[in-house]
Parts: sequence; structure tokens; C-alpha cells
Amino acid sequence: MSDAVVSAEPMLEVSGLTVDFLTDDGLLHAVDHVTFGIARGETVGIVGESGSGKSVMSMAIMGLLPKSARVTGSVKFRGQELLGASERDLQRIRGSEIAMVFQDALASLNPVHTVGAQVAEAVAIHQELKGSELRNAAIALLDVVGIANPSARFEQYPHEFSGGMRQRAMIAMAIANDPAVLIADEPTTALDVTIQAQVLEVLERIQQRTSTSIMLITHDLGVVAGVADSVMVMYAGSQVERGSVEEIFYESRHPYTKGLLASLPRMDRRVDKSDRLHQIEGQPPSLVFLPTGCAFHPRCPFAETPGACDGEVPALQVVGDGHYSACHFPDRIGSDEGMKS
Amino acid sequence: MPSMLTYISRRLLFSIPVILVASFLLFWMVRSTFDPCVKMRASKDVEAVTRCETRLHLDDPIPTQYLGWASDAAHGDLGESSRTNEEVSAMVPRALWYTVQLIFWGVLISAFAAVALGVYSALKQYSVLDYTFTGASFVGLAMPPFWFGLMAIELLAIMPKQWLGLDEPLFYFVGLHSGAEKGFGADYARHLVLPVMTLTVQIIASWSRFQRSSMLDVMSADYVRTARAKGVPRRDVVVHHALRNALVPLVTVMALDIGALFGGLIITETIFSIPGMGQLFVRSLQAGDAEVLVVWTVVTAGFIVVFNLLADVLYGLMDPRVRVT
Repeated sequence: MSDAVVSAEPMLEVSGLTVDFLTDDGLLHAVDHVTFGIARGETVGIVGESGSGKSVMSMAIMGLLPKSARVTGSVKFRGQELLGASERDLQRIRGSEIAMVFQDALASLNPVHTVGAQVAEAVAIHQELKGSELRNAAIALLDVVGIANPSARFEQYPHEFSGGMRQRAMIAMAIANDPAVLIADEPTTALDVTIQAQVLEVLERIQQRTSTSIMLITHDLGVVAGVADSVMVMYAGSQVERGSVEEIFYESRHPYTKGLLASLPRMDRRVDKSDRLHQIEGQPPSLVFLPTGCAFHPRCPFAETPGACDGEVPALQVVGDGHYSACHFPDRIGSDEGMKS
Repeated sequence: MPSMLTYISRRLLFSIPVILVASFLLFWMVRSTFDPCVKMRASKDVEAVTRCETRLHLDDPIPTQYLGWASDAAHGDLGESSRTNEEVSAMVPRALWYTVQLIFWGVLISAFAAVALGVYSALKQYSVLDYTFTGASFVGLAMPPFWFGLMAIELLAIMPKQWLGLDEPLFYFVGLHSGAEKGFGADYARHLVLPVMTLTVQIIASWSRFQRSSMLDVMSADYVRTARAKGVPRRDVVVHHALRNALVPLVTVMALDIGALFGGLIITETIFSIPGMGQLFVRSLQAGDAEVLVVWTVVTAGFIVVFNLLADVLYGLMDPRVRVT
């Protein structure tokens, strides 16, 4: 969302965030030493396939993981450490300073309460509003997110809403208290493309109004290209590349990112029927039994094995201005060489 | 809410044919099994037998007999007990009142206890108390009520009386009042404790297990996560978002179970000599009292139908998604 004011003031600073779950098979590393920051008014796209730790990371930031999760590292909001903060402090921050929009709006809305009541609740928890004032505030929020006839919609239940409307209602709840940070976890995944665009537009409009920082979790690179300022790519719980949208899309220095981009269907490239879409060979690894060295090396066309790739975990290194890659050989990547199999 | 009214009236209409068919089948079965004039026949008074047979149209086919019975019943005449020569229309309501009192207190206590235990167990899953409640509910479910009732009398009424050297036991175990006592005072309460306890053990055990699992389901639902992400305090998340949803299936099960209780307190009523529906059934069955048995089975079936209806209506009231269909 490049029109928004992006300032250098960091709203949210995540450093070395690690989440482990103890399972019957052993320790599961859901998120491994993730570090990034979001500036005021910035939109960061978090990209990765299912199971890459995106959602667990956002739940860790909100402090919503079950007790069985071991969370270490640091999450700072406006300089205040959130990890280990009291439940009381977290309750005050959740919904008012950091709010969240979830993927499946039908399951994420309470079926037995009206949409209006749920939006009003989000307001009432953090603001001293009652009665008709509260009701009007909630109706105004439904209006902001583009729900037509909001005062009638206020009385309806989630099952009476369409998918796109439900997602708008989720957003209305999330922005009820003008949060500084909005975490949107796959907000458009279950929606068709037109509705997707409308929902993203709502997010964009809200950001312009309140300079909210948005953390947009998605596996849809098209969505990221459209709205994000910077991108973080995750693989098997670790961040593999981070940088501005332009750099990630045009100057990628990580083979996984390259592979993802090459897998996108392209309208501008003529293909005959025998031409198949590119795919990254192999399967994502088990988070309990990660490969030695770089987690991506068994699937990497550039990997040197035996050698650095299966011997050593690559550190995130600077490959450009604000551009980081966790690859042992970032210089080899850049051409399309090796991407065609 | 016009949709709710249509919903309720539709359910009401559906239950009328159910009751009619049930009453016909029950009438048929009881008439084919028992002879309502058996007492007259034993007396060898031929005239009385003929009078009885004429009055009940026993020479007619069953459907005709049924129509006669149903028309009398509609006018308030439910026949006469061959055991006590009393009007059935007086006997059944009197017995029903005793059973209703037991059910009322039993269900009230069970509902609160089961919800409290179930919610606690779900929120503190795998804690020591959760395991304790789980174990206790298995014991409660496995224990026969007649054994529990007798043990309760021995341990809570007779033995304390002997140890403490009391003139009267703390809790009585015969009827619901002693002597000339009336009303709902201390005497009533002392009579109620043991039978209600006997009645509730199994109900609490099964409802609390049910509540625990439905609460566990709901606590991991996405909308509970949403509520937490909104900053809703834990107490409100549990009560307003989780419990409100977890009660929907429990209330349905409760309504169905309560409907079945009206005919099902035979053991408790027998142990504690309470002249309720269960006792009336056993006595009438032993005496082959056909007129009472027909009414008893129809009334019991009626309660099951009514509480099924109630379950449907409550479900519709509690879950807005149901009203549409």
C-alpha cells in the first residue's frame, strides 16, 4: 500500500521469535528465530506455504498460543515487551492496539450472537460506550467496511451474511479501536477474486485513514505484490528472505522465493499445452525432523551436498539495501538458471 | 420473531398426530393384554360382567373401542381403576404430582451440578480434579440406583442416627411428608434429600460428561479465539462465548432425558415409598388394572412427545441457525 505514509518509527519489533511444541515424536519447531519489524503505516506481507509457521507466529505475537507452546525471543510493541507480559496487560493490548483478522470468517464469528453484538463487544471492551452510543459506533464501523444498510445488518446473525460480508464484519471488529497494528491472517483465502479485491481495498482504505501497520499473512503472492511494502518469506518455520516488494519479486536472492515466483501462472507468457507450470520438487520437511543445515537443501536446485548446504544452517545475510537472504550462495541466484528442470 | 413462531407452531402441529397414533397403539396393546373386567369375572356375578363389558364395548373391534375410549377421555372420563375402584382421572394426576416434585428438584440440582462440573473439567482438562470427576462419574453411571438408594439410607439416615443418639434420623426415607405435615418446609426438605440424591447421581454423571465434552469442543473453536483476540476477559470468553454455545446440545439432551423420567422413577419411588407414577405403574401392572395402565402409558408417552417438542423449541431459541429450516 505504497500511498500510505511509511515512517521509520517501529510499531512492532519481533526478534529471535521461536515457538516450539513438545509432541510425542519430539520437539516441533514451528517458528525458528524470526526477526522483523513493522513501521507505522507499513504493510508487511508474510508469505509461505501451509505449515511454514506464519499463523503460529501471529498467534505468538498476540499471546494466544496454548500453554503447551514454548515461546522465546522478543516481541516489542512500541518498546513494550509482550512475551511474558501479564494476561491483564495483553487483554488491554489485544483488540485495541494489536488486532487480528482471521481466515475463516464463518467459523471465526460466534454463531449465536448477532454480528452487531459482536462488533459492539469489540468496542465496549476498550471504550466507555453504552446503549445507543455503542450501537451507533458499531453501525458506523459496519458502514466503514462497506456493509450496505448497516443498521439492518446489525441485527443479523453471521449465517445470514455472505462470505465477503462476513470478512468485512471481521475487519469491522478488528478496527473497532483504531489499532496500531492489524494482523490479517489469510483474510482473503476463502473468497473469490472480486470479493478478495474488495476486502483488500477495505484494508487499504483503513490504513490510509489511521496509518495502521498491517501484517498480511498469505500464501498468495499476487495479493502481496498488490498491497505490501515489504515481504518476508518463510519456509519450515524460518524466514528465508526479507526485503522490499520490488527486491523480492525482481531481485530475489533465495532459491525458495525464486521457486515460488516461477510457480505463478503468467498471463504474459505464451505456453503450449505441453508446457507445465513450474513446481518445486519434493515436499516441505517435517518440523520435528528438519534436514541438517539449510532446511530447503533437499529441494534446492543450487544445493552443494555434501558441503555448506547440508552442513550448516545459513544465517540471514545482507544481500542489498534492506534485503536479507538466508542462503549460503545468494550470488548464484539471480539468473533463471537452474529453475527450469 | 415471526420465524420462531412459525417454527414452534409447525413443531406443535407435528406432535398432534404422534400423540394420537401413540395413544391408539398403546390402547390396542393394553386392551389385548389385560381384561378390564377381570375383577367382575372373579366375583362370578354374571350381570356385573355383562355391565362392565357393555360399558367398555368389549364386543366391538379395537378401533371402535378406541373411539369410545377417546371420546370419553375427551370429556374427562378416563374410566375407573379395577384395583381401587377410584376414578383414573384422580389417581394419575395425584401420582404425577409426586413424580413431578422429584423430577423438579432432581433436574434443578443435576443441571447446576452437571454444568459446573463439566465446565470446570473442560477448563482444567487433565487436572487432578478433572480426573477425579471423570472417575466419580464412571462410578455414578455404573452404580445401580437401588443399591445407591439403600446405601444412602443406611449411611446417611440410619447410622448417623445411631451414632449421634438422635430420636429421629436427619433424613427421612419414607414418603415426602411425615404424618400430618404439609407444605414445603424443613420436614419436606428432610424427606427429599435421599430420593433426590438417588435420582440425581446417574443424571449428574451423564450430563456432566456431556457438558465437559461439548465445552472442550467449543473452547477450541475459532470464534473463541476471535473473542480472545478482541481482548475479551477470560471470564466473559468462557461464559458469553463458550458456555453459551456449549449449552445448546446439553439443553437438548436434558429435555429428552427429562421427558423419559416421568415413567422412569420406578426404583427410586419404590425404595422411598413415594406414591408417584413409578409406583402406580408397578401396582397397576401387578393387579392387571387395564384402565389405569392405558392412561398411564398414554400420559408417559405424551410427556416424551412434549419434551421432544420442548427440546426442538429450545434448540431453535438457542441456535439462530436452526430456525431457518
